[in-house]
Amino acid sequence: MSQQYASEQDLLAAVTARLQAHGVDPNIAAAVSGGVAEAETERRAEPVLPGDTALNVRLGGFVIRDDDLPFLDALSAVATAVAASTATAGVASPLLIAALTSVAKLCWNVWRKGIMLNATQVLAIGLLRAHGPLELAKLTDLARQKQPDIDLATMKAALRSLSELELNDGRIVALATVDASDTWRAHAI
Amino acid sequence: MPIFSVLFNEQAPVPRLPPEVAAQFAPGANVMILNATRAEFRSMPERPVLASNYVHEGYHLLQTVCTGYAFARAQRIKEVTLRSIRRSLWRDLRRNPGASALFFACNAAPEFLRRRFELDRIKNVAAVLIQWNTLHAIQMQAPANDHSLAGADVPDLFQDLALIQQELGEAGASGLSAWHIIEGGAAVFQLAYEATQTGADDLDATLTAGLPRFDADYGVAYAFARERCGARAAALFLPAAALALRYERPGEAFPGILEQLRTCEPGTEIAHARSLAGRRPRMAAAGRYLGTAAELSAWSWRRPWRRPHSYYKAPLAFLSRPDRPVDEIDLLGSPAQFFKLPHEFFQGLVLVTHDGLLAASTDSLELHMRAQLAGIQLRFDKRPRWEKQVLSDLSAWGRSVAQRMFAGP
Repeated sequence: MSQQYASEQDLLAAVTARLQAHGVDPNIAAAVSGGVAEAETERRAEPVLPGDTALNVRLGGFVIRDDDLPFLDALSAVATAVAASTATAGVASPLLIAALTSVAKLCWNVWRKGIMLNATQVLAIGLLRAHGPLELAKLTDLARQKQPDIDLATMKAALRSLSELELNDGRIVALATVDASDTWRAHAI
Repeated sequence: MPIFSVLFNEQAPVPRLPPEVAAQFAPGANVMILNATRAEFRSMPERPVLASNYVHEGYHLLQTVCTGYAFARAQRIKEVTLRSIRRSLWRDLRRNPGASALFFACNAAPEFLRRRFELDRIKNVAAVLIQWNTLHAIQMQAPANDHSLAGADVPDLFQDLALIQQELGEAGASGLSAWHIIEGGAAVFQLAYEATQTGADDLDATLTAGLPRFDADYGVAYAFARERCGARAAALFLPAAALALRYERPGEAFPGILEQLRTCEPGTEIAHARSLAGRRPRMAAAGRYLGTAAELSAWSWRRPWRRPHSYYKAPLAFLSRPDRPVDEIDLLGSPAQFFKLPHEFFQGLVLVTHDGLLAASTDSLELHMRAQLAGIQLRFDKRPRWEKQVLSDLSAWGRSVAQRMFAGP
């Protein structure tokens, strides 16, 4: 049901090993696992609101549940696609690694806050974070490199669904918004 | 009023716990929340980890119905929540005296008058006025970092709950708090249950190896006992914790009880704890002797509340029966009895999974109301969603009024 890791380093090593075992490029695997570990550390440091009277089974360290694994795999597939779409200086480029880490961190944060993002949504966020603001047509072209069957309507629906999401704590946030010139941009939470 | 109306919402909250919280128990509502799906819960015999976490939370239920301290705490949580809900209702009715009077008058009017003067429309206008004012008030008083509806509607509730929580976590001269005893007891019980499943014969070794998997504070009380009694702490811990929770300050009662229990012959810990319970040893630092939950709920002069606690009626009735097959010390002292408890013992417990509610009770309204009550206490209700819903209801009402005004004859 879940795997427990004593420290952030153990979590990082386990996630990297899993991704590499699934054939993910080592640099991309390191970027994704770095984003996941950062998101987990920040989430666990968030202040707890006073008055929580529940009695918990609270495990120590870091936990990855079985149902996290498909999301982790989807995340690494998107990271690979995003890396391919920005192929300028190869996957070892520090700028690209930093961008992939930030994409992984954002997506993992959103996932942990209770939002089940689908592959198209993750891809859209990934591309917008890596490339900056994009028009719908350009974004769809880039997405087609990973998902050839994607069309404008599907991408638009995915982006619209990202503009109003309810997090576990009740906040309603926008991960992607469009401006007057029909350019979409991604936002952190 | 918003949290009052939440109580009647039949769409129960389905919280998603963080991955490190495997399950939780809301004693003020007798609700257990599992970080699992309904299908996973139903196949629990094939899922030892889930079964073990269920045992941990089940032990909190046992503590609540077997010990005066945990029972009184559950009762206080329930009472302060219900008091806040009542306050919210009356405050909003007082805030809208005209609209409230109109609403109730229209509701109480006979049918022929309602049809003759179209009173339902007037009632709708009154309801809209109350909703509008309530929405405005909620938006004005919403705290910046708390997105729950209860946090904005009744912020005092969380001050009261924080006080209860502070008392639970306050360590005395022994360095132990009631929280250490309650959570330490549940963690040891869970590991002892796992040992019975795996056939491990050295319980102390199992506990020493197993406790670090929980958050650090779960093992504090056991480490305290081990420092004083060595490996024998494994046999003494649960009976001592069970007796300590019969006092007003369990953290202070625990060392004294442990000292008295360790004098018994190995293998007689449960029997010795039972005889010790009969003597009710007085310990100044431990405060008042509260007794068992059944005793506390039966003796009205000791009840610091107004109503009997119906959420735990079934297990308390079971434990009050003269022919009961097990007593409180048996239940809390060893995991052997847990899965032998009859179905009636769990009547009233509501289980919340990722995809819905499960309960031993068949009363759907009560089931949902208690899930909502736990949702209020644990901030599962969402203010932004409520605000959106109210605005959508108000605009739908506005549209229907406009349509009627501009409709042709």
